[in-house]
Amino acid sequence: MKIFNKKKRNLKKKRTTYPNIYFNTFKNNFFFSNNNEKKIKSLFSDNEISTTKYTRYNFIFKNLFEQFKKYTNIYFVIVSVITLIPEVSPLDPSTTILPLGLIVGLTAIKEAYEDFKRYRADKSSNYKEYLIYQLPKPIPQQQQPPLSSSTTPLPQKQQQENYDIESSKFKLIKSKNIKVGDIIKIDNNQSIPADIILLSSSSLGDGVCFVETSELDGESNLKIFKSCNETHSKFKNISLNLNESQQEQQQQFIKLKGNIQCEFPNNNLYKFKGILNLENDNENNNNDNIEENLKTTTTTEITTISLSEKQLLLRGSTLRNTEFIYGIVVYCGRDTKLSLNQKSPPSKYSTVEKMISKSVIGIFIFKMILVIISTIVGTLVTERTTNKSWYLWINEEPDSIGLVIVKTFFAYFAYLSFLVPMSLLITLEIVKVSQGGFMQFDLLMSYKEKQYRKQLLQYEQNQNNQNQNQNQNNGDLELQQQQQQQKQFTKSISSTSISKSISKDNLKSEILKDDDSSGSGRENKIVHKYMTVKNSNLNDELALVKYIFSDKTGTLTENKMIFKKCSIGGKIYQSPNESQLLNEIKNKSSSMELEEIVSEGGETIDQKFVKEFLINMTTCHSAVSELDQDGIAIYQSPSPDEISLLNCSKLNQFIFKERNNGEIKIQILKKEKTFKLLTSMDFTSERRRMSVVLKDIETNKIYLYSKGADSVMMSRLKQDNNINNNNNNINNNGLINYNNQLIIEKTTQHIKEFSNEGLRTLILAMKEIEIDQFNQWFEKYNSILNSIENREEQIEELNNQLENDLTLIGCTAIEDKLQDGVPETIEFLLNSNIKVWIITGDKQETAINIGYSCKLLSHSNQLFIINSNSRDNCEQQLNNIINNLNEIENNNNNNLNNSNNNNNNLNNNNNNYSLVIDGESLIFIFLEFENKFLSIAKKCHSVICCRVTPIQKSLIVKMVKKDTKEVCLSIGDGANDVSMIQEANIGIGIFGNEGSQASRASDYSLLRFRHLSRLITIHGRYSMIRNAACIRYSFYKNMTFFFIQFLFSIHSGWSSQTLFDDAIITSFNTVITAIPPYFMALFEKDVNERVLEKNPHLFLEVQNGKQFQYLTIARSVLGGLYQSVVMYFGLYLLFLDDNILNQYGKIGGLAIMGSYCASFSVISILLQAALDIKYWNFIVHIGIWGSILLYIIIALITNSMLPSMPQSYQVFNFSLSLLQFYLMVIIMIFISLIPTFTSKYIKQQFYPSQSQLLQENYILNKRKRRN
Amino acid sequence: MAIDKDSSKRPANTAFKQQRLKAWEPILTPGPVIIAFIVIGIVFIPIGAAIINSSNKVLEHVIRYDDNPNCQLGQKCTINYTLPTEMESPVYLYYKLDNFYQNHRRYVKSRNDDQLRGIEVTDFSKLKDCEPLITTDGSEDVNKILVPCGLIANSVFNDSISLADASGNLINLTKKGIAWQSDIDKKFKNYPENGVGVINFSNFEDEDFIVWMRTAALPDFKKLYRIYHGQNGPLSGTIQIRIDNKYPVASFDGKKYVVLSTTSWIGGKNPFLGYAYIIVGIICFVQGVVFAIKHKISPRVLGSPKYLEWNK
Repeated sequence: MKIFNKKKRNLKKKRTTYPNIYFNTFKNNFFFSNNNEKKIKSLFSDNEISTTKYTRYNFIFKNLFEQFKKYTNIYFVIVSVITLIPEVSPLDPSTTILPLGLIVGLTAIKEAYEDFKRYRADKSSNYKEYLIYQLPKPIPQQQQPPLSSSTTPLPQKQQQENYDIESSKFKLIKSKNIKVGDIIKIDNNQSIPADIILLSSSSLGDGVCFVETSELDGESNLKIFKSCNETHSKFKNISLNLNESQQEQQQQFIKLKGNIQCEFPNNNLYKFKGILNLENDNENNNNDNIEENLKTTTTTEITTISLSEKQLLLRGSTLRNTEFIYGIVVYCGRDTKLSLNQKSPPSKYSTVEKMISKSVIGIFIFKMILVIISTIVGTLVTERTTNKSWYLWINEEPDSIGLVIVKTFFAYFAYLSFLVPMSLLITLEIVKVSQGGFMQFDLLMSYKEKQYRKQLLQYEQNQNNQNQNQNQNNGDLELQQQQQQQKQFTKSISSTSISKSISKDNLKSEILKDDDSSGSGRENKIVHKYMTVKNSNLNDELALVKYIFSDKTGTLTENKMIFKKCSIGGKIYQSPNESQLLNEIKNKSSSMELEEIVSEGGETIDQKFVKEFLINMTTCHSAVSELDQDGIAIYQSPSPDEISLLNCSKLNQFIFKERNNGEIKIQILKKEKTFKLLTSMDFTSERRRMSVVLKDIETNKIYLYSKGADSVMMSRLKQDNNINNNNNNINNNGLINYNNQLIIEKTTQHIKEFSNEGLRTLILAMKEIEIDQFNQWFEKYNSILNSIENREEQIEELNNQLENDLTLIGCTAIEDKLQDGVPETIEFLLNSNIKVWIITGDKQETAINIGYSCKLLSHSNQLFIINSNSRDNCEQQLNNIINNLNEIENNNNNNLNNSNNNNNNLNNNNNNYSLVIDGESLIFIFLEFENKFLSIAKKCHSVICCRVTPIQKSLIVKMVKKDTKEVCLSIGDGANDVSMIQEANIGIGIFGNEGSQASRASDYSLLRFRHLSRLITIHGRYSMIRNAACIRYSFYKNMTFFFIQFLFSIHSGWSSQTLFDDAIITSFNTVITAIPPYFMALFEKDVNERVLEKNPHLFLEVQNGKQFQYLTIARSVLGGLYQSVVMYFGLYLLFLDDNILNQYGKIGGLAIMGSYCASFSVISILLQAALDIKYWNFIVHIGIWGSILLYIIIALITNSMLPSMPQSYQVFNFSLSLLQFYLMVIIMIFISLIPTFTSKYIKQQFYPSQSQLLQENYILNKRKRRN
Repeated sequence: MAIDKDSSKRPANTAFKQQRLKAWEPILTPGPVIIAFIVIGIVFIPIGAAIINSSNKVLEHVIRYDDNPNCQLGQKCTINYTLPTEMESPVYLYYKLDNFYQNHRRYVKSRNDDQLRGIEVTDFSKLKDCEPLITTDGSEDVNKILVPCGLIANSVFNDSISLADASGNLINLTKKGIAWQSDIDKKFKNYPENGVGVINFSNFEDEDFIVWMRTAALPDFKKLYRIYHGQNGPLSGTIQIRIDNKYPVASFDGKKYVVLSTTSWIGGKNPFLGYAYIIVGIICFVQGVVFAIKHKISPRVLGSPKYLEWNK
C-alpha cells in the first residue's frame, strides 16, 4: 500500500515512493474498507497546525525538563537537595531554592509567553474557514477491497449511481478540518490553508493564478501558477455555465474523480513531482482540446497528467489578483512544505559562549578541590578536636569516620555552591537579547526607502487590454506598493555613511526631514526599515571576525538593474534606453512604413538584428505583466535583469503585454502580435540560460529564442566555418541562417569591453526550428513528462538537444549600481584587518572591475590571478605565486637587514596582495591544492572568486573556516547564498530584491552592505567588551564574596558555618549584585563611537580575542581571591579575641562580624564595578549607587524581622551605631580596591592601548570645545 | 509580512534607544590620580595615628586562671593581681575562653529562639533547631523537652568571678548593661514557671545568659561579665580576683582568662585598625609621590598621537 506514514518517511532517501491521494471517491475520500479507516486517517496528518512547544497540560513538566537539561540548573538542583537535609546543610534551603526558583520561573514565564503567542497564531490560522466540496453521502453498498497498488482499476461505473447528489455541496469548514484529497475553493486574497494542487482558476483562458509567497520565502513579487489544461478545461465548463444552478455545478465535481501520486512530503519549496490520474467521463471529453491533449496519454479510462511545482500552491501563500481557484489538497498540516521548512537553522554558538562553559567547569573543578580539601581537613579537625568538645555533644553518639567524611563533603559542596556564578547564564541571555534590541533600534543601521506611488516613466499606452487585469481592489493597495517598490527609479539613500561622523543635530534634522516628507502627501511614502537580529548569541562573535565572504549582486550592488548598452549584430548601441533601437528601425526605413518593417523584418541587417533582439527580450523571460491604475504595464520577475530588459524593450515600443493561455502577446509599436508558447526551458543557476520555443501565429513558423551567460551560450552558437558566408545570405526569414564569424568575434570583443566597465552581460541568440523537427522533439518531451523517474535529467538532455546551433543576435550590458557607501565600507573593513573575499558568478573582467570600483583592489597592491583550465596548469600557477611571494618576502627581509630602519614596518604593511581566482580553478583547488591555495590566500588581504557556482560558495567558506579556525562571516542576499550563510560562523542576510530567504537563514539581517562595518566594528566590538566585562565581573563577584566565607572555615572548626546572613546570601546574586553586570553589558563603551568610526585599526584590539580569554577569567578570579583573603584576614585581625566594639565594652560575636564583613565586601564588590565602568550615563549611576542602597535596605529589613530571622535581629542597626564599623568599612574598601586602581592607572598611564590614546584625545578635544 | 509590520514600528529617536545618553567618560589622568593618592595619604595617616593613640591608652589585663594550681576545677580560689597603673572607671570585666568553638555550625544553630522568647514550643519539627539537645533522653515526649533546649543554652559558662581590693573588700560590680539592649528588650523573655518541659532554669532575661547566647565569632573569644562603674575610685594596686571554677575546658585544651579592660571611643585595645590606616595612608602617599615624580620627569602627554603604534 503506497501510503506514507511516519515510519516509511525514513525510507524516502533510499527509494522514491509516492503516496496516493484519492479524491472524490467514496469512503472518506479514500478507497479503503471500513476496518482500515482509522488507520488511514492516522497516516495522513490532519491540517491542524501546532507550532507550540507545549500544551497547557504538559507545560510545567516539559518546560522543567527542558530547563534542567542545562547543567548549571542540574547543579543547583543538587545543591538545593543538599540544603534540604538539615543534618548536612550549612545553608538554609531558601538560599538556593529562591534564586533557582527565580531563574527557572523567569525562564518559564518567558517560554510560556512565547508559546502563547504561537498558540494564538496557530489558533487564528486553524480556525479560518474555507469552502470545501462536500462529498455526496454514499448509499450503503458492498465494500470494495482495499487497493494494493496504484494500478488497481478505479471503481466501476455502476457505483457512481449509488450516492445522493443532493447531499453534495460546497460547505464552509475550519482550516483544521481540511483533509488530504479535499477539493477546495479559495477566493482572492485568501491565504492558502494547505499544500494544494491547482485544478483550475477564474482566469478562463489558461487557468493561471497569481500567488504571493512573502510569508513563505519573503519574495513580494507575484508568482504565477498554472493549472493543467485537462483539469482546467473541465472546470472551465463549470465556470462558463454560470447560468446553471449550483446543484448542476456540483454535479460536475462529482464527475471529477481520480487519484494523485506524489512525492513524500519534503521540505523543498521549489520542487514537486507527481502524476494525476484523472478518470475521464466520455461525454466530457472536449474536442477543442485535442491540441492540448498532446500532452496527455489517453488510455481508455484514465488520463494521466504530470504535475510539477507549477501546480502546487503552498500553505502560507496568498492568492492575489485571481477571483478564485479550485484545488485538491495534497499535503496537510505538518506535512506541508511550510511546516517542514520551519525547522530552525543550525544553532550557532559564539566562541565566548564556549569559553564560558569551560570556565564554569574550571570554576567547578576549583570548587571541588576546595571541597575535597575541606573534607579532609574537616574530618581531621572533627576527629582530633571537636569530638573532644563536650559542649558539642558529639561524644554521646560519635559518627563513624565514613559518615563524617560524607557529611562534610556534602556540607562543603553546598557551602561553596555559589562560587559557581549561578546567574551568569541567565544574565547573559537577557543581556544579549537586549543588545540585539539596541542594534535593531539603531537608526544608523536603518534604511529609509521612498516608495513612489506614481510611475515617473510615462509612455504611450494602449488601453485595450486593461479591463482584463483590472480587478484590483482596495485590498491590493499593499501589493501595488510592493510592485512600485520594485520598479523604483529614484531612491533615497540616507546619507549616514559610516566613515563620516554624524553629529546629533545632523541626524535629528535628517529624521525631521523624513517626517515632513512622509506627512506631506500621498505621492511618496517613506518606509523605515530596521535590521533584525535573529541570533543574538553571536553579538560578541562579531568582534572576532577575520574573514568576510561577500556575495556581489544585491549585496554590494543595488540589484536594481539598468540596461546600459547593448551590442547587436556586432554594433554597439550606447543608449538603448532612449529609444535608440527604435530609431534604428525608424530612420533607415525611408521606403517602408514602420509597421511593414516590423512585420517584414526590415531592410537592412541592422534592422533585422535589432528587431530580433527586441523580440527576444520581450518574449524570452519568465516575468509577469500587470497594469497599474494608469494602464502602464508593470513587470514582476524573480530576476531583476529581466525587468530591466523588458523595460528597455518597452521604451523601444516593443511591449510585453501578457502571457496567457499558452500565448505570449506583445505589442510592437501599436500593433499587437501573438506568439504561441510551445515550450519554455527555464533559467536555473546550473543551466545559466533560458530558452523559449515560439510559434508565430501569422507565419506558422517556429522560433527558439535563447538568452544566457556567455560561458554557456558561446558553445551553443552555430559555428559556421565558411567565413565568406556573409551579408548576401540574408533572406526574408531574417537572421535564421545568418551567422557571421565576424559578428561573433566583434560581439566577444564587446562583451569584454562591457565587462571591463563592470557591466553584466547576457548573450541573446535564436534559431528557427522546422515544424517536423519540433513535433518529433515535442513527442519525446511529453513522453518524458509523464514518467516520474529521472524526469529532470531526461528533460535536461532533451533541452540540450534543442538549444544548439543558435544564431547570435547580440548581447546586453546591464549596470548593477554599487550600493551607497560600499567602497568606504570595504576600505574600512580592510583597514580593520578583516580579509574581504568577494564571491561572485560574474566574469573575471567584471569582477576585477567591480573590485577596483569598490576599493577591494588597489592599483598599488600586487594582484595575483589564478585562471586555469587543467590540473597541471592550476598547480603551476599556484607554485608561481608562492615563489613570487617568497621572493618578495625575502627582499623585504633583506631590506630590513640592510637598513635598520623602523620605517620598514610601514612598507611591509603597505605591501598588500590581492588574489583573483575563477570557479574552474577552484574545482582543482578543492580536489588537490587546498593547502597551497590557502597559504597564498592567507597572505592576501582581499580575494575575488569569480564565476563561482552556489555550491562552491559554501565550499570556499568551509575550507577557510576549517583551515584557519578564524571567525568567518558570510553576507549575501539571495537564495544561492543561504548555504554560505549557514556555513559561516556568522551569517548575515541582506534584505533585498531577491526575497528574504537569505535573511531568514541568517543570524543578522541587514538592509544595506554599508551597515556591516557599523555592525561589526561598533556593535560587535562593544558587545565583546561588554560581555567580557559582564562575565569577568560575574566570576569575580561570586569568587570574592563566597571565598571569604570559605576562609572563615579555618576558624569555625571546618564546620561549614556560614559567615553571612542567609538573607544576604540569597539576595547577593539575585538582587544586590544583579544590576551592575547587566548595565555593564548594556551601556559600557570603552571608547567613544566616534573614535571607532574614524579609526578602523582599533578593531584589531578586539579581533585578536584578547578581550576575553581563559586568562581573563583566571585574572579576575585571582583578583577576587586576593580581595577575599585581604578582607577576611583584616576582619580576623580586628575581631581577634572578640574585639570590644564601643566604649560601653560591648562584644559583637559572630553576627556582628558577619555584618561587618558583608557590608564592606558588598560595597567594595560594587565599587569594583564602578572602577571597571568607563561610560557613566545616569542609568549606570542609578544602577551602581542604587545597588549599594539596595544592600542597606535589605540589611535593614532583615534587621527588623525578629520572628523569621532572629539571628540578624538588630545586628545591622547595632553596627551602624559603631564608629569602628565605619572606619573598618572604609579601610577595607581601600585595602581591597587600591591595588586594582593602581594597576589600572599604571597600565593606562605607562602602557596605554591604542584605543585609550584615541579616547583620551577625543575627551580632551571635547573638553577644549566646551571651554 | 512580519518585516513590513516591524518597519511600521519605528524605534524612537531617543537618546536611550540610540545609546546616546549623556555620559561621563572618566579617564585616569595623572593630575587627579596623584592628588587623590596624596590626599588619601594625608587623611589616613592622622586617622591611623589617632586610632593607635586611643587604642594605646586603653588598659587591658589578661589573667589566665585555669592553669593556676589553686584554681582546679571545682575549687574556689583567689588570684592576686597587681595593676601597674591605675584603671580609670568604667572598667569592664570579661571572661575569655580559648579554643572554644562557639562558632561551630553544630553549636550555632542549636537553639530555639521562640522558646527563648518565653514561648512554649511543643512542636518537635520546630524544636529540631535544638538538636542534639531537645529532650532529656532524646525521646519525643513533650514533658521531657529541655527548657532551654539546644547546645548553647546547655553549656552556659558558670564560673563566677568577683573582684576585691587588696584589703579583701569586694569591689562593687554591675551586671546590668552587659548584654545588648535589643536582646534584652525583644529576644529574651522569661519562660513561664509552670511551662511545658523539664525546666532547668526559666530566667532567660538574665544578662549573663543573654551574653552567652550571642555566639562568638572566633574560637578565642571574650564575653563581658561585669562592669565597674568606679564607686571606689579608679582601680589600682593589687586586686584580688576570686573565682569559683566550675566550667570544664581541659578536655578540649581550652583556656580560661579574666580580662580587665578600659575602653575608648574606638572600643577596646585594637591595634589592627590604626595600623591599617597608617599603612594604607603611607602606601597611597608614596604612590602619589612616585607617580608625581614620574610625571614630572617624563610626562606622557594625554591623548598625544605620537604614542600610536603606526606613528612610532
